[in-house]
Amino acid sequence: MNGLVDLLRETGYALVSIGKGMGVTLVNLFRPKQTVSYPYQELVVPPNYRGALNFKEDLCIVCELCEKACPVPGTVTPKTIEIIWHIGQSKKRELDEFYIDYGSCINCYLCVDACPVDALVPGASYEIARIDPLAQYDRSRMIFGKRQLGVMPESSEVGSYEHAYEHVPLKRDLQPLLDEEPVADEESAPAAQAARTPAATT
Amino acid sequence: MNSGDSLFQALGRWIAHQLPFLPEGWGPMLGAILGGLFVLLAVVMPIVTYMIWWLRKLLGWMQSRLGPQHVGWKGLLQTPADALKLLSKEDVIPLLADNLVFTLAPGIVFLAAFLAWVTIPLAPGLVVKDLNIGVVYIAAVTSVTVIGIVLAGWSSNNKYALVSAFRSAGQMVSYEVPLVLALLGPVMLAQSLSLGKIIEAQAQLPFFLGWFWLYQPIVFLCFAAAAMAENNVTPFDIVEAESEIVAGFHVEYSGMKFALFFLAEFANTLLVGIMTAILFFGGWHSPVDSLLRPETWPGPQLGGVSLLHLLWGGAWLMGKTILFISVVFWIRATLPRVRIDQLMDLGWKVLIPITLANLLVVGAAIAFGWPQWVLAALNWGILIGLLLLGKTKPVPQAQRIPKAAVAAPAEATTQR
Repeated sequence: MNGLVDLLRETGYALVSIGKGMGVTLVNLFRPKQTVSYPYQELVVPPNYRGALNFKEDLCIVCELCEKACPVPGTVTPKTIEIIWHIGQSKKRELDEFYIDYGSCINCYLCVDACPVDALVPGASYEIARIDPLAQYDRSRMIFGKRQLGVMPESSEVGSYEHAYEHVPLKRDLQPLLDEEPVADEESAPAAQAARTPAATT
Repeated sequence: MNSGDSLFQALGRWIAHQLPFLPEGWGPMLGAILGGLFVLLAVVMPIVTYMIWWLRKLLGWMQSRLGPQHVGWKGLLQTPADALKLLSKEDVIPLLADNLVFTLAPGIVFLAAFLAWVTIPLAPGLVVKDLNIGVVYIAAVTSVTVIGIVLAGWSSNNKYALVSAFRSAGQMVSYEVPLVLALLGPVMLAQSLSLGKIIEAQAQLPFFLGWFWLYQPIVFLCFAAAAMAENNVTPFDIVEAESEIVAGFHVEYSGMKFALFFLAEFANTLLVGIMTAILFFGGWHSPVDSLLRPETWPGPQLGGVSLLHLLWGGAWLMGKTILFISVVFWIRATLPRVRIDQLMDLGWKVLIPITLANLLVVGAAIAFGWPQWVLAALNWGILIGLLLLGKTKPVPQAQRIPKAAVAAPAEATTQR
């Protein structure tokens, strides 16, 4: 008799468990979807995203520390970072061209760490192949000069989470965290505030 | 309406009348050919094509994805694009495969999947031939699929395909018996094997009170489980388990032969959906048919049925079918795969005893003339009792104390 009750209980438990599992999938059917349809809809990356490098020519002092820090040889050049310069009239180095070979760059950002003036910063772009409208069929086409690197989008500022996630529907339990004001020290708080407003409007 | 004189038969007779040079008796044959072509090309193939799209969409939504959405509006042209791609692919036959059998197997599976549609009524009066042994015919024809699968698995000369063929044969012996026994429940209640008569028998009480799922809920669940096992859909897809035996019997198939297997699988799922609607959920009858009385509606007649009634009934039957197909996909999105021994356990130790006991109960109800509510009360009482009992978690089998050990623990220890 006990065995029969156990068997019936197992059968009933199986039915109840199947019902519970199907309830979970049914709830998920009506939840917002997490997919970003990439070519049609672009994901705005989180702050401090380490994408393709942005190079600021006016800040560069041509110290060549980035070139020395770079650990990989390039595909066509001896180093992944190649800097061409000359001595100007004021006896200072002047930059002619700044190349990064994205055919061999491993995105280690050692050059960013080495730069003493923050002329090299990680950017927000994850679409290196789309900088040139055509896909590259030649290794030399993967080498970007200072003009291309200068227009790379920069990462968004800290504190602009709403902007960063605006294309991604959020789970309900994450929302309160994002509604809170970003915790920042007193000095940088106005700066972050100022940085956020234009970011949100653009 | 005479069950032998369907719309297609009337059409065939009319064509034969227009062409006097045809020999005697060609009318019904022409009607059957036209009906078969209509059902295959105008009903089953389009529905199956969009069923695949619907499966991918539904599975995607349940997994927080979007599903196909690139080809056509909302991805609607994805399946035709896939079919074109498969058609244009090279037809690869492995070097050591048995050529004849390898080519024959997809045909057998495809044929078996579509043969059953001969006797499936799609709407009132819209049936190729309402066989008076319809249920037996469908049970017989759908099990031919297994022969195709075994042939495919054997002739591929691939160990995974062979394992899949063995699994398919082993699976068949465990689900086929409870499937047929479960089919017998509605058949006994309707006192007929013809699908048209089974549908009519469910329209005797007002609203949906005559539908058989009210009187056979447990058998309905058994039928659903066995039918899903026959279809190789996910909780029972041990035949084509991707993670264990790659793709099972169709590993070596490419191009259109693979597409034939794929289409046959979905045609079988569609068949399960429409059989559920016909056997347990009143077929083309809507819950409000007893108020609207569509069989008295005016309008042009088609095969002895008003055109409005035909469209109304067909829409209801299709709606129910799509609902049950969606439930099958929903189960597919939820449940993990069972092992083959678990499937055999379920078939032999659970489904067969339940369906056999149901045969006894329904037989007794008919023999002693019990009113129908007794059957309903008995079934629902048992089902709800089971669910209430199952709310507490059962003790795992390994932790149960055998009776002998409780009664005489001392003896048990000394004997050891």
